[in-house]
Parts: sequence; structure tokens; C-alpha cells
Amino acid sequence: MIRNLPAHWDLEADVIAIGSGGGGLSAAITAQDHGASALVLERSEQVGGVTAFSMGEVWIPGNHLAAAEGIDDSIEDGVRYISNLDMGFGNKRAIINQAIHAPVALKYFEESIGLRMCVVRQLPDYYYPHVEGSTAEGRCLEVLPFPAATLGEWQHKTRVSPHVPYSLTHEDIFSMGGMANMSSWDYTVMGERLANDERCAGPGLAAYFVKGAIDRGIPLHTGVNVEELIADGARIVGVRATRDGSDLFIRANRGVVIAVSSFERNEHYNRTLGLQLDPVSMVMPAITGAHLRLAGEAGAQIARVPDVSMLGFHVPGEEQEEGVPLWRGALPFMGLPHTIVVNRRGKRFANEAFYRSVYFGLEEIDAMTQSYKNFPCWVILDSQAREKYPFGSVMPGQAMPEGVGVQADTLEALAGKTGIDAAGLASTVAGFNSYCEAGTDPDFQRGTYPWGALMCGDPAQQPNPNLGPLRKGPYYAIELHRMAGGGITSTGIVADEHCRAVGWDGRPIEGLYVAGNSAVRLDNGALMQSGITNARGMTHGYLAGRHVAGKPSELLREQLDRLKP
Amino acid sequence: MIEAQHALVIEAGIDNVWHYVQDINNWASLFPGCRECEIIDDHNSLWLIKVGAGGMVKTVKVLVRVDEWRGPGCVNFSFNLESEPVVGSGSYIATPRSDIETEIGLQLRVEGSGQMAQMWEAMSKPLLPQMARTFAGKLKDEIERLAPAAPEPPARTPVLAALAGWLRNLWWALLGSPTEKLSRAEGELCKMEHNKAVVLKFIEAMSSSDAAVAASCLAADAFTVAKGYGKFAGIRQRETMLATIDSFNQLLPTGLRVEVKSVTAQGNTVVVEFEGNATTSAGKPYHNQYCMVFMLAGGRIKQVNEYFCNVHADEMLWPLVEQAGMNGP
Ligand SMILES: Cc1cc2nc3c(=O)[nH]c(=O)nc-3n(C[C@H](O)[C@H](O)[C@H](O)COP(=O)(O)OP(=O)(O)OC[C@H]3O[C@@H](n4cnc5c(N)ncnc54)[C@H](O)[C@@H]3O)c2cc1C
Repeated sequence: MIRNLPAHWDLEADVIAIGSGGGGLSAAITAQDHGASALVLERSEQVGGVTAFSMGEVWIPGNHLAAAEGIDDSIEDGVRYISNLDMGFGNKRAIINQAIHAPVALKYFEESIGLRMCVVRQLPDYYYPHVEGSTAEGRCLEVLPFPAATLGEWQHKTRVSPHVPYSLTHEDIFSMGGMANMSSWDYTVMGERLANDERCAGPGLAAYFVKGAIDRGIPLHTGVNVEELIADGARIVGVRATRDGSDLFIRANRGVVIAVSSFERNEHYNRTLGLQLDPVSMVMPAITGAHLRLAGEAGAQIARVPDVSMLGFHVPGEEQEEGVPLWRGALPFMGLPHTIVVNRRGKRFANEAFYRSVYFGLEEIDAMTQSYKNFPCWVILDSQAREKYPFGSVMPGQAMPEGVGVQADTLEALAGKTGIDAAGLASTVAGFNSYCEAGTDPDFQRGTYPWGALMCGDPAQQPNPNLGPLRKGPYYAIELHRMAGGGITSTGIVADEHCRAVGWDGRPIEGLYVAGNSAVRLDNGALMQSGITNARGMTHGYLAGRHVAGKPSELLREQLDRLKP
Repeated sequence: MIEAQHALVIEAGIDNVWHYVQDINNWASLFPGCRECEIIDDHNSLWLIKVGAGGMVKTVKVLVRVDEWRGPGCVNFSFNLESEPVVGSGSYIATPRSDIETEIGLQLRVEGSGQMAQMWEAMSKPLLPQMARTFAGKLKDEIERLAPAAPEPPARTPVLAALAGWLRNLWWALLGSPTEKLSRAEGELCKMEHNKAVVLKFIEAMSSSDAAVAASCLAADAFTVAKGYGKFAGIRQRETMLATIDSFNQLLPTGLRVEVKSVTAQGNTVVVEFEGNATTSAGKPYHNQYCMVFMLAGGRIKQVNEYFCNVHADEMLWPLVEQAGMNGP
């Protein structure tokens, strides 16, 4: 263990949470409520992290809100679902630990900070009904609108999201026909919520936790970049951070919780740890993998689970608040009717309405030539899609802005402009159009995953919400860029059931905790399921907060035997 | 279609108002975010504006057309966004109320077009009135702040540019979000910083028994509430507050010698924790600790809630007050 004590300390608390997203805030709140004083250090000028950028879905099998709605589910079924999908890369103990604590953490934050969530009705698990343990609804939760004016001076220092329509709940959106049908929405509610600054989705979720922290008088220090852990030779006792270019030594009497998300704004780590070549990113520039450097010095062990790149595009002229180009995810738009994704040969390679399929397809390598089979790739749409559906911030019916892909009157001309094989594209579209008539996609089963039909399709499209032919020019092709996981990543720090960072000797490092995406996803393995990462952040924060305050959860020990399959 | 209007009186003659309005540089300072303005001809100009909105910053192009300008009383204009289906129009009307007062009215209309019209309008609705109000207010503040200059004949291009600048702000409001939010956040911060400065000035004035400076920090209907059960407890209106501050140096010839420990601002409230380390006119030490909660409106103190050790104040100061026949601090 390192020993690098400073000559003096500038600040002190029992617990330091690094990062002001779901993980960091819930750790600070829990620690403080269990008798330890806490403070939060945030590198950006705003609090909320990627949590505030998100859709705000929180996925918790066996939660009490679903039970109250009469939805049949259990923690055991949740564990079964994950175990059936982790491809053996998960760790059973970690899966169970998350599964039993997430419902407890949810209740805890409802009671302690006044978090108000509800079941997103009708929203199934990704793999429902194809995998045992999946449910048609009940696990995915979202917050009730949060009145941001109650944040006082933090109202404008708490992030909102450039990625999601955060003045509407899922329920609002579904009841108006889904994202695909924006053009027939009633915008009255949106107007009112914008005027009153009532936040839903991720911005709402983050705001509840920010409120919880400020209500407790937990200091939130922004503009403070943590650069080093401080240890006394036996345990972690503080951090060295910089603010406005000068050092700040902050003592942690009980422990330090690292919750700085992933490393996707670090090109080098993306390549060497994420195995992703030059991905673009949806997240803020602050997400640079600080956890790896910080905990690395203390000897923390890292591990990796299988992971895939996502796909994104950029509308020129759009930037994040920090001034970097704003990249948007292609996920909700690829599986809409009149839309396909093709590779250089003009061939579809996946179920575009189920992003996991597209993204795993992306990684496919032609071993004979050592090249990616399906990258580069393009999303191809026709004018019907443009008339009816949004494409990112480009509204239905709005002309495609200059610089967003290319357009041409015929598919052949489109192929010419992009370098896609024209014959390949023509036959793919002809085949696809005939599938649309039949309403089934024998190649990639588009429309067979209810989640994809609801979230990536047009519920009004019959007989298949994800199928509609491309036959009306002009046609559009937008080359998609490899994109990192929106804070969710393959590689992270190994933690035990109390979220203590674990060393290469397998033993916990005294005084060091990790929460959220900084912790490796051994509780998911190869599975990704929306809502899981926000749930992990809250749960990790709860567990770390209790342990660091000297009141660890005993639940795993109590229930391990009962849950053994 | 969404409409909003706002009217107010500027304390300046109409020619002075026009003199300001027709100068592009003055307007430019009111409209942040503009990167370029290309004058196309006498009536048209193209603006490149960076606007913040709902967590993002977007560069947009707005084509502005001045349909009619009739200085000093009226300007009519219209505009459309290049990539978004939003068009709008508006007018600026100025009428003299007296030689030194001008009433101005701003009218704004916005119309979304195409199938997403409802969305654009829903987003504009809550923001448009706010925009008209904010802008008119800024215009008033700036014109009144500047010493009136001799009117000059209005020039075409500056007016055009000025309007285009104004429309830049309008666009913020329109995009439903963006900028208005950022600017509101900045405005909030500025306001809080201003409030802090006013309060610290007041405390300093109290410490040095300077009633004139203290008066400049107090609203016309200001009052203070000294909490607790001591002899000083109770409510004092503005006049009494000032009289007390004025006579403070009789009680404390050293001044209160304030040491501020913390200043916290939120919304319209500023809380200051401070200590006084004075010597009384009787030559005794007076070391009290204070926490005062100041509530402000329009940048002036309206109410003060004072918390301090009543026992110590009663013991050290009250006999002196009685002796002098004063009312207490
Ligand atoms: C568009 C989008 C939609 C999403 N939707 C969902 C969803 O619906 N459901 C779901 O579960 N997940 C979703 N996610 C993912 C999810 O939001 C993240 O996985 C989750 O928020 C991570 O929380 P966290 O606490 O680990 O980190 P974050 O919330 O990212 O917080 C980390 C914080 O640490 C700060 N930081 C970094 N380095 C330092 C340093 N050295 N010193 C101090 N501070 C530092 C960062 O600035 C940041 O504020 C989405 C992501 C995106 C981008």
C-alpha cells in the first residue's frame, strides 16, 4: 500500500464520494444518514453526471412498486433472467448481491430522500418473451416529474440531457403513440413542464438525488478534479484534487467512494481496455477513466466483460454544453419502418430493431482478411421515414440538414454517392420490401422483440411495427460512427459485495469503494439491459454508504443459501 | 400562433431612446451568442447564433427582414430560421410620454409551420412573454444607465443589425428552451452575487456607523427583526434602523469591527455569519456573534432577521442605550 500523506489537509469528512452521478450521490447520502459525514467532489461545473444524461430507466426485478400494481415478478426470476443471458461471464455472487439489494435500495431512497418512482407500464425486458425469467413489464421504473425549482441555487447547476425529451415521462410518450409518432403528439404537457422546469427521465432522476444531498447539507464541490488517492501505508485516507490549478488535500476519515463512470472520453483506454477503435461518445468530456488511474495506484484489480460498440451520428452545429460535438445514438431510429442498416456490400447484417443485434453484428470479423465485415455501415431511409419520423433532432418533415449524410433520388445514385455496392443494396431493399408486405423478416426477425417494437418501432405500423418498405425517393444514407457505451463499459474495477475495491490478492482495499460504472459489470456478464446501470449506481451507493459508515448490509449472507439455484 | 407583448416606460426622451436603439453596438452588447451577422441588403440580414438549449448548444441561422422602419416611433420586422420550420414577426413601438419619458412596447409573434408546428409553439409559449419582458427590461436598464447623448439621425444598417440582434434573443426563447435557460441561470448567479455585495456593503456601513451608505442598501419599506427575548428584540422600521446605525459610533467608538465568517446566497436570500469585536464607550469589550438573514427584492434589502447573543448585548450595550436615551441597535 502506498504512503503519500500530505503536509496538511484542506478539507475533511468521514466519506468522500468522487463523482456526482447516481453512484456518488447515493453513496454520500447513505453514508451521511448512517452517521458518517460526507462530501461530494465533482470535476465538472455541473452535478448529475451521465445519470442526468440518461433515459432514467431503473431496472429492478422484484421491486415493490410492481407488486403494488399487481405485477407478478420475483428477485429469483430476475436472477434467472440475468443468468440465462450473461453467457457465463457474470459472477453468481455479484448477480445475487445486486438482485437482492436493488429493491432494498429503491425503498431506502424513497423513504430517505423522497425519491418517487413508478413502473413504466407496458415496457418489457429486452429479451421478453424469448428468455426464461423475463417479464412483460414491471421491472423498468422511472421517476415522477421533479420540480427543479426546489433545487434553489443548484437548479441550473444540475445537468439536463441533450439526448432525451426530459419534459415527458415514458408513460406520456407511450400514451401519445411513442417516439415515432412525435408529429401527432399533444404538446401541452411538454410546454407546461418546460415552463415550470419539471424534469423527468435521467435529469429528473439525478435531480432527486441532488436534492437529497443538499437537503442533508452534504457539500457538493464542483470544479474539483480528483487526481490521486492518499494512503497512510495501510488504508486509503483521502485524496489529492485540483481546483483552479491548485492542489487540494481532502481527508476521508472512513473511506473514499470512486464513482466517476467509465473511460470513454479516453482514446487510449477505449482501444486498449474497451477494444473499441476511435469511438465517438455521447457523454460529457469529464468521463476519462479516472477510476483506473486512482485505484490502480492502490493496487485495485480490474476485470472485463464482453461488450460491444454502439452507433451514432452527428448533426452539424450541435454541441454539448462543454463545447464538444454532440453525438446522438442511432438506437431508436434504426428499427423504424422504411429504414435499414447495411454494410459496404449493401447487405443488412442484423435486427435493426434490437440494438444488441446490430452492435454484436458490428464486431464481426472476416478472419480471412482481418477486417470488420459490417463496419463501416450506413442507415438507409426513404422519404416516408423522413415524413413520419424524427431522426435524432431532425424533426419529421424537416429537411435533412446539410452534412447529415447524403441523399439521392434513386437507390442506385445513393449507392454511388456512398460507395455502397449498388447491386447489393438494390437486392437487399427488394427483399426487405417483400418482407414488409408479409410482415415478417426471415433474415433477422425484426419486430419479434416486443421491446424493440415499442422503443424502436412505430406502434401504429401494421402488421409489424418495425417493418415498412423503402420505395419513395429521395433516399437518404447516413454513415454511422462507432460509439462508446454511454458510460457503460466492459472494463472496470473489481468490487466485493459491499462495493469495496478488491486488490490483485483478492482482498478488499481498506477505505476504498467503487460505485456505478466504475465497478466492473460482473453482476451482468455479457448481458446489457436498459435500466441496469442506473440501478447499479443507486445500489452500489447504498451498499458502499452503509459499509463505510460502519453499518454494512447483512442481506447477502442471510439470503445466499435461499437463492442458490 | 403564439404572441407576447411587453410594455414599459423608459426614463429618457424618445430621441435618446432612438439614439440608443439605432446603434448596433449598443444592441450587440445585449444579445449574447451571436457569432456573425451578414448584411445582405437594406432589408435583409443573416445571423449566425449560438444558442444553449436543454443541455446542448446549437448554432442556428436566422434570416431577418425589416419590413418597415419608422424611427423614432415604430419598427416592423419578420424573420425565419433557416433549418427549422419557425417563422415570426414583431414590432417595436415607442411613444413619448413627456420630454423625459418614453413608453416602449414590444410585440412578438411566432408561428411553427409544418407538421411539428404544435411542438415549436408549445415550446415557445411559456418563453415568449418572458423573452419580451426580459428584453424590454434590459433595454430600459441600459438606456437609463447611460447618460443621454445628443440625438443623431438614425442610420439604416445599425437599425437593421440592432433588430437582428434582438431577434437573436428571440430565437433563444423560441427554441424552447435553450438559451433562456442558460441566461436565466447566469442571471440568477449575477443576481445572487449582486445581493451578496449589497448585504456586505450594508454590514460594513453598520460597522462604521455610516447611515447614508446603509440607506442606499435598504428598500423603501425595509425593516429588521431582532429575534430572541432580550432587550433589543423586536421589529424596527427603516427610519429607526438608520437612526440606530447613525448613533452606533456613540455606543461603539471603535466601530463594530466586523469579521465576516460566511456568506451564503440562495434566491433572494443572503445569510451572513459574522463577529463583532468592538470596545464600548464605557471601555468594555463587546464581542458578539451574529447570524443575519437578509431578504432582498430588486437588489435592495427588504427584511433582516437578526440572531445574536441577547445576554451579551443586554449586558454590554443596553445600559449605554438607556443612558443615551436611544432606542437600541
Ligand atoms: C443517452 C443515455 C441514455 C441512458 N439511458 C439509461 C437508462 O435509461 N437507464 C440506465 O440504467 N442507464 C442509462 N444510461 C447509462 C447510465 O446513465 C450510466 O450508466 C449511469 O448514469 C452511470 O452512473 P455513475 O454514477 O456510474 O456515473 P455518472 O453519472 O456518469 O457520474 C460520474 C461523475 O463523475 C465525474 N468525474 C469523472 N472523473 C472525475 C474526477 N477525476 N474527479 C471528480 N469527478 C469526476 C463526472 O464528471 C460525472 O459527473 C444512459 C446513458 C446515456 C448516455
